[in-house]
Amino acid sequence: MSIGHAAPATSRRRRMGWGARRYLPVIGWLLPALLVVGFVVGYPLVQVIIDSFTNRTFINPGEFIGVDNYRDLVAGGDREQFWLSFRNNLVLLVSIPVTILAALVVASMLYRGIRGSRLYEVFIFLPFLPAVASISVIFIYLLGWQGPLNETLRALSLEPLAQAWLTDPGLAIWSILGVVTWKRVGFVVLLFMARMLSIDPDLLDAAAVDGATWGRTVRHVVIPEMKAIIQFVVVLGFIEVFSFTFAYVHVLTRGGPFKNTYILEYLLYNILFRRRLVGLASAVAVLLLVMAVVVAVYQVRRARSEAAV
Amino acid sequence: MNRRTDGQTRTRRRKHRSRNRSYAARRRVWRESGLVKIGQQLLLVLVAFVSLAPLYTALTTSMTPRGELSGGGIAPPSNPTFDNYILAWRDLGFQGMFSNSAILAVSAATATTLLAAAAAFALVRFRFKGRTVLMAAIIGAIAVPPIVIIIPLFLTMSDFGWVNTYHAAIIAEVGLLLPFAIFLLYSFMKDLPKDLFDAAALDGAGSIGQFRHVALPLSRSALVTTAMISGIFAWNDLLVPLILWQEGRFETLMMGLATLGPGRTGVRDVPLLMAGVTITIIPLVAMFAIGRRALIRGLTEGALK
Repeated sequence: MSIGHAAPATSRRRRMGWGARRYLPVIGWLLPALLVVGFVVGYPLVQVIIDSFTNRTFINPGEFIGVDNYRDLVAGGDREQFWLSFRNNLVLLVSIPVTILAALVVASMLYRGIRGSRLYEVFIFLPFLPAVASISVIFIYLLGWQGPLNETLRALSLEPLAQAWLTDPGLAIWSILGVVTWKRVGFVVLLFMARMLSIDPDLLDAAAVDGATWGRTVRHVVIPEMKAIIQFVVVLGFIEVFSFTFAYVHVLTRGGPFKNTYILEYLLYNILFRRRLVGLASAVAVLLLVMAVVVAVYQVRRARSEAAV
Repeated sequence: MNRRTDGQTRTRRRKHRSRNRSYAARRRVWRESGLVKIGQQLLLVLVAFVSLAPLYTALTTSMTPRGELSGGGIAPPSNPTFDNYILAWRDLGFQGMFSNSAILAVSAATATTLLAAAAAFALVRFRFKGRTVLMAAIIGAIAVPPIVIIIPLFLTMSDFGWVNTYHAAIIAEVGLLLPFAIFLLYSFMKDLPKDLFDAAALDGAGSIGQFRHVALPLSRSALVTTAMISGIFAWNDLLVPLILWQEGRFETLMMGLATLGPGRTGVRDVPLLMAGVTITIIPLVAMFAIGRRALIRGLTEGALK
């Protein structure tokens, strides 16, 4: 951790002894940002945990009911929808290894400077730019029964492969998985490229001098160097799959057909605005939060232990 | 930019040069058969095609006259038209949605960047008790998912009577974007030469003077990056406006797409809808074209730290 522009150690003690007056400028600079973050993130974070132990609704402030909400989700009346949503989140996790593999292949080809690298880089990054809502609308059309994908398959006499991509109960979540993966690969390629370009070229030269092929070099020199960034991408993927996929489901399928593509976020949204059960929705939120905290703590600890080495 | 005499610019330039050089060097070192090369090109063409095809289809479909769309319409229309854009803009409500999205994105980006700059400046320039804890809290806040805080936030804003006011969604976006923005600007400002601040202080500049005449001008590129990323995220966000701007007059482009998208899938209206989708993407592509470097630097910054 850098020291920033901190005063040297000698004057430190004098400064540490400040009265409240010395704090004033700091507070002045920080306060606006902290107020907003406190209002939007800090306070709700505490409130959502409290609410998750109550039967609060929009009208009724509710009272403390212990872990009933959690029990209801895991083993009570809402367990079916809860576990289905959870399962769907797990399906979406498949996007993490697929994205990483695809991005590694693409990035290692781009990295060595194949003809047209720059152009490919831009093309592959482009899906990351538009909003989830925008690309989801495109995919509703592309994946429709009469849409371009099915029509293309039919034109190629592959009629049996034409599917009701977004309206088949078993298939829909896998189609969403495809869209999520499609959107994210470009971003991961970007991260991998940035990391690869900071690898010491001498390492590669040494491998080349030793007569290693490109494939071996990637496997034994480049990928070990990328361990940290790959782990970071895994953590990011976890957080995204559990907490940033709402828009895909909301636009692509509205959770349907027959609630088959519910994910935890969508379950929360539905409990909150259809059933108006603030307490129960808060319990779902807390479970999502726990998930994010666990992976984030893992990431920080790993970064620390690596920095210590 | 020219005033930056520290190592920053030089390092970046050097890095850039070595990047070009190593591209060439790598190509020289690993020569292989033409067949492998062709295979790789084919694979990349395939990946690029898969990446671009959906966006390209949206573009061509949006320029197909209504009613002339055949199901598999991937080929460009024989008589392209902009009528769909005019219709979507005027009659489908995209004009109003566009201005709401623009208001949200521009105000959120401006406020986020200003507040984050002030906070980052304080974290870099002052040493105070609890600074480390505060840094940890800010970095931790980056990982807090919007969906988690949206319930209490909605309830609080309802209590204040703020739901369906302009500032509701703007404040929410700013609060969600600030932690990352502070982190981004802090990691840039901490590398600014301390001497410049001290020199300004010797000249009698207080913290306001140092902020205005040293921190801000020297961080211009990082400020642009922060503003761009904040703007894009707010522009693209669905959840916050969906919940805090529930009235029709506040409808943003993303909300409009979420409503129209699944509803209007009749073939006749698809070109209109695709024109609408393209309208939401054009500003992003323009921004990417102008500030690609700054944008990519901002996106990769967090991951490489």
